[in-house]
Amino acid sequence: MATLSEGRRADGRLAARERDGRSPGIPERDAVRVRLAPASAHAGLEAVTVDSGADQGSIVLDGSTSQTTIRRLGPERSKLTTGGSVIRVLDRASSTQPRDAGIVRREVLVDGWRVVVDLEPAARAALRARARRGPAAGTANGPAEVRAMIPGVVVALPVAVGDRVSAGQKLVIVEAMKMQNELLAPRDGVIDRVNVVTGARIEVGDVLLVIS
Amino acid sequence: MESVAVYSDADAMAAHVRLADHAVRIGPAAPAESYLRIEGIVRAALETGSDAVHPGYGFLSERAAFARAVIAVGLVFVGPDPDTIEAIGDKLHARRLARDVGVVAVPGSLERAMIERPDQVAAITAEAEAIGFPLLVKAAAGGGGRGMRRVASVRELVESLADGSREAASAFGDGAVYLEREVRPARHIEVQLLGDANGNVVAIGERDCSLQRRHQKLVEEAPAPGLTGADRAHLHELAVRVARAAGLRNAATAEFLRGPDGSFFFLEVNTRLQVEHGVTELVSGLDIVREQFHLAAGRPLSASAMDAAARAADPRGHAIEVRVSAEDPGRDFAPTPGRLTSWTMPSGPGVRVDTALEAGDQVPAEYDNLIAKIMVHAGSRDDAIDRLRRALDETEVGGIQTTLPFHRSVAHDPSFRAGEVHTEWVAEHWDGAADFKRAAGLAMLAAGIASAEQHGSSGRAGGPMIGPRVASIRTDAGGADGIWRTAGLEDGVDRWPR
Repeated sequence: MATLSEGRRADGRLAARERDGRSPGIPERDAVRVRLAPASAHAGLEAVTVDSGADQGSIVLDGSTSQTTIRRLGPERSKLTTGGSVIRVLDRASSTQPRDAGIVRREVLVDGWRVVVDLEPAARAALRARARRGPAAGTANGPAEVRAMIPGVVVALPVAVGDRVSAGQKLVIVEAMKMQNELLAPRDGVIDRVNVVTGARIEVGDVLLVIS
Repeated sequence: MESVAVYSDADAMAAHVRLADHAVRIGPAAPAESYLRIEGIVRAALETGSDAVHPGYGFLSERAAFARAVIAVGLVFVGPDPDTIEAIGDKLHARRLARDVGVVAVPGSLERAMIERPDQVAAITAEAEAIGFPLLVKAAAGGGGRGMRRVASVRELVESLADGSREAASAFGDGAVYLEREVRPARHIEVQLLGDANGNVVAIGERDCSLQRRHQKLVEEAPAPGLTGADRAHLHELAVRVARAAGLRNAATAEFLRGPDGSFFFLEVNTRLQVEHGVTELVSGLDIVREQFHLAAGRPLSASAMDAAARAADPRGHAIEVRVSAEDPGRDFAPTPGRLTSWTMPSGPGVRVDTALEAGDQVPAEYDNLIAKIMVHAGSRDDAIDRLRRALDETEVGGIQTTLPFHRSVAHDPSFRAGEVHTEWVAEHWDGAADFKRAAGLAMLAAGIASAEQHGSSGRAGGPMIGPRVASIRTDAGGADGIWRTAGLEDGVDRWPR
């Protein structure tokens, strides 16, 4: 029986490792890998692998561990008990279609938050990860896809292909709900590709430009 | 009374269209071609044989030209006189009016700042030094933070005045700017006013609207916590004095800042119904919109309005409103238009929800992001906060991210319960990214367990659980997504009112 021990990361991301010596990340037959969909992507993506038959687990966040048990109340509803509080969860198929076949996208409502997650059999996820591990792996030096985090209309595009940009520089200005929203560069680099033009309507998750 | 709704193409299926006796299409989704077209709306009123026009609290509600156009064709405008709207909409005029009747405004200038000639620059510099830094450059015609600049020292003064003036000119067609002291931390407290054609003006009570972000209110409550009966009576009297001097008819709201020492400074008057009028209705028992129609028909202040005014300094009970908006509180309140997949609003004793949406509805990107006002009312502020927690527990919105997590956090915050609210509160007490991370962990676990149960090959459907066997939680490669930042309001005059 695996329990989770505390794992601490300097950036406060979710982290955990197993105490029973089984190496993390090697999935069992029915394990499911869960990660945040692009629409829910905040800084510091986390992924969790859940074995079939589990009804409780630990979450380690910012250095403190909380034991969580889940009780299903129906096909979409469940109750999580963690740290002495009971949290209602609604979990249903997302209206947004997943991009890859085999990945199931679900929308989870918890404490007022809407978290969109992608689920995939862990064995398949591991295969995919291995296939991707090529020369252009997603390291700090690899190309960075800049995606739309809000839907709207592109009203200004102050950069072009070949421009050198530095982290925090304005890349795209999107108008939505009477507000102008600036998308800033996540890091230094050169604009490799621009997929939008001024006046284009964009949706959440669209790749707007690529920085290399 | 029969009602006529006007709608743009984006709102053809909206609740106000379904509920009104008649509905008239006034144009495409773009506000400039529909809700801001004065002649189109006036024509709709005439063609349907309307007697009066209520401007609501959006788009043209504070536009003197609209009120004039309605009156010019012989209809009744449900709101203050156009001359009052125009005069008091000029913040410098309002500040001079307050001074004339002995009401202290936020310290600052009473005339527009001029910087064309060296002697003017010298004069405004001396004035700025007398006010003290940091101070604010504000637009006389302003609203929504447009034309506003924070000036930390005298070196930035002239440039900030020029920048603010340029922005004000482009937003409002009037580049007049002036200086005002920055009161910080401050509480934002406003007084609900009603006035009749005989010149009688009464205060119905005050609201605290200190919890704001980007000059947009997020939470409002009535009465303002921590005021004594004497504070309240004094504040109401200041508001009535300014409104009477402005010749106020119908409904308006006088806004004040309360400094750390407890003193009240007059800020401005809004000449329309406010978004947050509901909390005053809950505490006073008055239907403010109904009163507006009575007053617009030329009747004197009603007996119920006079009763509410008489009780205003000694209110019974407490009401709190949270604005549920299509904004992501984990991502600096970035807008999140989209389709609602689930929509459960709270109910029960002491709960009021003002909304026009239901599951399946689209929240359009063209209009304001306010999608519901959840209000609670109880005998005391403590009980109202408990009721708010319960109401928010019942609330569920899917399809788009809303401000609900922020409101849940407010309802559980000890300093909010202690009434320690001020205009910097949100920045000091809300860490949306951290709260999201906590929720995301729970969500991933819940979805993973549910999926493993449903797709597991062991065929133990309904059988006993073997667990716990959660294998690992690992960090992924990380998102390359950029950082969003809200630059400014697209159209200062025409945004949803604050």
